[in-house]
Amino acid sequence: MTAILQALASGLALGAIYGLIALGFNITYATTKTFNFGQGAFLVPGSLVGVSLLLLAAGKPHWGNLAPSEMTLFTYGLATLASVAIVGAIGILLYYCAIKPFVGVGGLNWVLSTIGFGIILQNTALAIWGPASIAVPSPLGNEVYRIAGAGIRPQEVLVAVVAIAVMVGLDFVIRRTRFGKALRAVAFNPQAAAIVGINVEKIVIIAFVISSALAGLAGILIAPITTASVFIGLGVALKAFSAAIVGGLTNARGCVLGGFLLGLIEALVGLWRAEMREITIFLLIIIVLVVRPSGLLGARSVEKI
Amino acid sequence: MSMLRIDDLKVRYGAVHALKGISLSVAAGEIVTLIGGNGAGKSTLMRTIAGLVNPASGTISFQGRSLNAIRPHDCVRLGIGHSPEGRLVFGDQSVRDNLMLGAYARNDTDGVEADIARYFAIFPRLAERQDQLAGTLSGGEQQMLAIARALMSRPKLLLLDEPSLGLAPLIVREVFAVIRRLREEGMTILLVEQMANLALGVADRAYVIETGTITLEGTGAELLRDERVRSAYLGA
Repeated sequence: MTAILQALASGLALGAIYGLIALGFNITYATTKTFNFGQGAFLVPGSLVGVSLLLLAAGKPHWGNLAPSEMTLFTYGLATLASVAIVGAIGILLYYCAIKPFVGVGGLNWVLSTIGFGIILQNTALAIWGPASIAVPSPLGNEVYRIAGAGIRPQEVLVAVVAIAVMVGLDFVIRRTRFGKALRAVAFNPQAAAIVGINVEKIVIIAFVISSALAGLAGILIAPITTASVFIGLGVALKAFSAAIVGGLTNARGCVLGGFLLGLIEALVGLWRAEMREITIFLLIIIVLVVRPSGLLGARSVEKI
Repeated sequence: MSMLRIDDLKVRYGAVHALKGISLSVAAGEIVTLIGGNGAGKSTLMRTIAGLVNPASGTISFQGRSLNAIRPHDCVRLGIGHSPEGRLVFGDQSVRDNLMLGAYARNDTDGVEADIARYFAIFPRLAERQDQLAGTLSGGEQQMLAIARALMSRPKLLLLDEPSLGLAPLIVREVFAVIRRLREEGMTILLVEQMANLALGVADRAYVIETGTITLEGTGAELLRDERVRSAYLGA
């Protein structure tokens, strides 16, 4: 029972990470019918830039290891903002290099161009940080919380709380604000959006910035759990991609739901037999897609023409 | 002095010459209609004026400003409202939000609210359905919404593309009643329409466009009497 509770907590944290990244896939797919296949690589600067800034602030080289005393909620918060800002800015670069030349011209060139951009980004990080992983202490310490006998790591709580807050905030922005309505108008029909005065390209660029920033946030949030390294992103992004497809790539809430489902299943099956984790998840994904090809909450349009 | 002036406009889609040298003008306060069959180039012309298509050659100017290389969202800011062919209302957003989006280029919140109230008074069906998703409206209601959304930008020139398309005769009459009302209020309108008799009845001047060229022009009344127009477009 305590083991299950523990697994639920890790599953929730992991699911929140998948949900964040999956939401990034949703937001660019809705507006451009493309997304960043190299998203995994965006977690890398997300974690490493923030951690290196903290290291430099502590007077150490940028690839060293942080002492727990050098990590507080305040400095972690600053590092998070820096990571999000820098990875968001890389999103602009991504748009101009890998999306803009190919969007709207059909074909799958954008798939390769985004994968390629990700590989370039990852190898740039390899040149700067090297292959070794950097241990990152949690700003909440490593002492586990005891809840009903189960040991829950404080970073898992932090990850879940921050990720859920960001997802709820983004949901509000997309549904209620002027920007969100413009974003949905572009997603619905770019030409119709343009003729009411919306600068479609500007909205699309913002979508890529948000998508990238979400990956950056995911990177710095999981760093204290997985360590920060050049190789953290790929597996996580693949799961997030699966979460988006299972939940419904066209539905933001579906993507988040898919993220939590995958995270929880992964953690619970892992309790039983670790090697069954991936097998179970990908079998379930295939079953879901056979039964509901557009994902659990995927679009079935109500539009009358 | 014409508000919109187009000279020798040519538009190509790849190897297809959609417009082969169109010249026309619209003066302030006028309703000008373009009639012509399917594929004649009517909608291409509208889309070119709205900045959605770039001309290959020729000039478009609006109040003395060139629109040749303009982007569509800047066109709205200059004062061109566009109710497009097929209506293109934002189906997954409410009627009210569609109108708000129509005012996207404006910054005066109070004025926007007042205009929404104004168009709810003109289109009571939209007021009744203001919280409904636009995609659930009937075709006629969507057309009214598309017109109201275009008007929300407070345009100086309204491009009205095929407003009767796919609508029942009774609804078409309602749409044209709205167009007449807009005319009385002094709105300048460029109207593209397949229902030539209705369009000519409401227009000050008209152009007939065939395979990318203008073949006839005159006042609405003149073209209504013209033998060629009557046999080709009025079924007489």
